[in-house]
Amino acid sequence: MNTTQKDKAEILIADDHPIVCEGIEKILSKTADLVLSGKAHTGEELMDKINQRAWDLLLLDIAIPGASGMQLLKEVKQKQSELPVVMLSIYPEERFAIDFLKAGASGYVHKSNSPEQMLESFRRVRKGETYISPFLAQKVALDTVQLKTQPHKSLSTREYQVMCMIASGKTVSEIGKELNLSVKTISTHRSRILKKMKMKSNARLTNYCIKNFIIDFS
Amino acid sequence: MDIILDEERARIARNIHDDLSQEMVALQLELSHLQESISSEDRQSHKLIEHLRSRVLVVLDKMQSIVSELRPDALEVLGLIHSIERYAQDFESRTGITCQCQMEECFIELDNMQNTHLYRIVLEALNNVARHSGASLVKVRLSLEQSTLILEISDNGKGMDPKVTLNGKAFGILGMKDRAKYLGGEFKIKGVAGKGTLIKLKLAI
Repeated sequence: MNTTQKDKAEILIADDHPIVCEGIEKILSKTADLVLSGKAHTGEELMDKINQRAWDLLLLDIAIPGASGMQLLKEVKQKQSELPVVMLSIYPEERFAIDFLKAGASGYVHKSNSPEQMLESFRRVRKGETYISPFLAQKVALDTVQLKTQPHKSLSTREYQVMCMIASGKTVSEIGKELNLSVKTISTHRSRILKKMKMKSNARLTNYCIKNFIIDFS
Repeated sequence: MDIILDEERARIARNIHDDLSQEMVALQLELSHLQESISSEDRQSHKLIEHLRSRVLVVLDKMQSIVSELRPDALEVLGLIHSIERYAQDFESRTGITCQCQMEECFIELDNMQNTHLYRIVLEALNNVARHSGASLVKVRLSLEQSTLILEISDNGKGMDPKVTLNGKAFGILGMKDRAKYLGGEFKIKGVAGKGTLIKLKLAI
């Protein structure tokens, strides 16, 4: 290994598609600070490489043969807890990104991202930061804002239905009869609704529903 | 029948995901390299490549939608344990029934079809709980005792009628039994009036 090579962050990629590995290798080869030093095509090969030596960054496909991406991420983190991991995926970010970030990944990139976006994510994660794309960041931010201003958006379809019925003045047993559910189940729904809405009484729920045009008494 | 369909769907999904989608990703990367190699002054070529890249993205998205319809892709990506936990959260917020998962974090090596059948059994059992049991709590437990995997789904509802559980034609019980048989497992279902229902699958690994 020459001196320049030592200055570069050594990256391990685990992906069962050679064509993807080659594409990413080509992107990395044009940089002065990152180098692809290892490739694994199965879960077993990945764990062998992780056990052999330390790496600066792991690019892990979320679905490679031998184990699920989640299981592999957990196994890798058990062996090298400090190793930053970027998940590579062809699934839309909103489907799985949050699950992997919660489980210890530092980044999640779509394989069709532009080379610039990919390199940005690798560099930021390498520095110890967490990377999510501007698209996902915006989506998460919007969801959070919406939940704060309109808490009823966090309710399930059934909870929303029960909330509307409570706000219309129906009793728990009337609702149970109408929906063909036990009084116990409706009471559980009611407690959950109040908890999610951060309210303490049916009157507050009714007030909220009228103000937000969810129910109409006219 | 469900089992044959599952296998066929999984095969088609795998072909689309493993072959076609990855080829599209490679094509996308090639287009990026091509774009880099063209002078920035050649705006027309850049515009054309951008257009092609956006078309590739549309095709990729459509392929993923087809794959998602054909098989529970969460299973392959997140694994059995995390997929069940994720479904349980969704089930809880959808139905209002508390769903507790006790999953033993053991790295059991199950193949894709084993995972699919176990996952489908859990889904069927939970849907039964939501539709028929009137329960407020359901527990899903996955554990490993020596070399036997045990899957239990128990609720505190009204308890499934023993006639139904014995006859097994209703509530998707037959489907669950078929899946258990296919896996080579031992399947039991027991309802106690007023106390709830327990579904138990034992599978030697």
